[in-house]
Amino acid sequence: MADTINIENAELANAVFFILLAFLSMFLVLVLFFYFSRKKIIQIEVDKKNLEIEHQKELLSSVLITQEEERKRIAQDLHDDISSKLNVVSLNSHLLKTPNLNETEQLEITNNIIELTQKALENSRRIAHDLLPPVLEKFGLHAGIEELVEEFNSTKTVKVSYENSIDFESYPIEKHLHIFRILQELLNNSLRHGKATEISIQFTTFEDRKTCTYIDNGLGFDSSSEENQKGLGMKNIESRINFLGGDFSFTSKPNKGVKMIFNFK
Amino acid sequence: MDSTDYLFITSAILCILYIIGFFKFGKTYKIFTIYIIGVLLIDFIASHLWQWFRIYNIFTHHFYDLFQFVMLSYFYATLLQTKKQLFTVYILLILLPIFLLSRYVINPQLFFELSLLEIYLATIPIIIYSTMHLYNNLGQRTEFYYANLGILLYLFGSTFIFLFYELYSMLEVDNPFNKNLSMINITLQYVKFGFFFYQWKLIYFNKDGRYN
Repeated sequence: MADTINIENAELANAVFFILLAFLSMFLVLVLFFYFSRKKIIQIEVDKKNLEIEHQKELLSSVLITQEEERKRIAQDLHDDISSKLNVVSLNSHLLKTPNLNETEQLEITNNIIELTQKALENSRRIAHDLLPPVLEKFGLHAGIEELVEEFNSTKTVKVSYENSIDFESYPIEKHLHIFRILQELLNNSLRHGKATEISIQFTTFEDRKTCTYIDNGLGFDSSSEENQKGLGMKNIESRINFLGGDFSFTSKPNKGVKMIFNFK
Repeated sequence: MDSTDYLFITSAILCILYIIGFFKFGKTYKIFTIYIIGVLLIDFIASHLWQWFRIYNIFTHHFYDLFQFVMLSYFYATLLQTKKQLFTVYILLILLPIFLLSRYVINPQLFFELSLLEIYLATIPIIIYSTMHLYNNLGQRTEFYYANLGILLYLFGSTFIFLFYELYSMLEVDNPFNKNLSMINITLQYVKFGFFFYQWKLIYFNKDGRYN
């Protein structure tokens, strides 16, 4: 009788032991799960931030590269269009000092100097205009874009249409240049790479969100390929849109033109 | 028909649905389908043994535990990712069945007894694998997420139910308690099937060719 009770008690203790063991094991599994999950979630956050930083660095480096390239271009322009002409002016001025010059020669040299100085002046105006169109500063973005569109239309190779329902006058002046440069880059790309013949630029506003839709009918490219997204021009556009506090979508397929929509605050 | 019959019908419908995509989907899907069919067959045979042959079904539990352990180990072996996780799965897949089977070879009498050690050893590793899979799911989408949730939830509950069932029968507690336990078990099974149905729907009707 006592033996039976002992065996039953042992079985009972056994059952209680396994219940306890199961409780402890599952509790341990849960604790370990939460511990490792927390670590992993933090790691995921860190990775995400690192990726963002990496992206920002890339944008910054593209801004610096563009700046250097722009400097190179300006240096080249100054050298080719102004320095060379001023050199000849200086040479001609020295020629004027030559003794025994007759009147015809003097006149010829003077005319040369006047002509060259005018050309140099014209070139310096053009360079300054390229750097920052005066109309943008004087009359604002709307007029600036109108002038830009007119310039492109005057080449007769492309027809650019421009519609705007945004009042840019109330828009911060420092942001005008960003939008202007984005459009300049897009137009240049459409013409140079896309060989587009028709381009449409449209500015609309909806609930405090300003949107620009840019469409061309050029050659286009595969916008899903990563290689095409890493061009310097696109990076510059992206960083300018970042400055404007907006975002953008870009779609293009070979022979289907490009469509870019970006918004800004 | 009683509540277990409805459970068998639900399980059979689930099996048929999974069989439909058997040749269409990958290895993990196939293993999972074999698992749910096997579990249904073992359960069905076990519950009718007495009715058909007047045999007590207590030994069928060993088949259930071992089959579940082996199939779900294979299932998680296809899902888990890191070398450490896979090493754990394969080592236990070899060692545990050897250990459990050798117990019955040494002492065949154990085959006709409900073994708490066996329930514990065959279930806890699966719960650990399932938790590992849940952990892998953090920050990235992994396959069979919902089926895994169903397995985890059911194993968590059913392990305790079996252990308590054993305790109650030893204490000779009145019938209502046992009935309550089996009701909880049936409810848990339905919840598990719910997850499995949803998983099947996601796999069968997904458009981008990925499991969820």
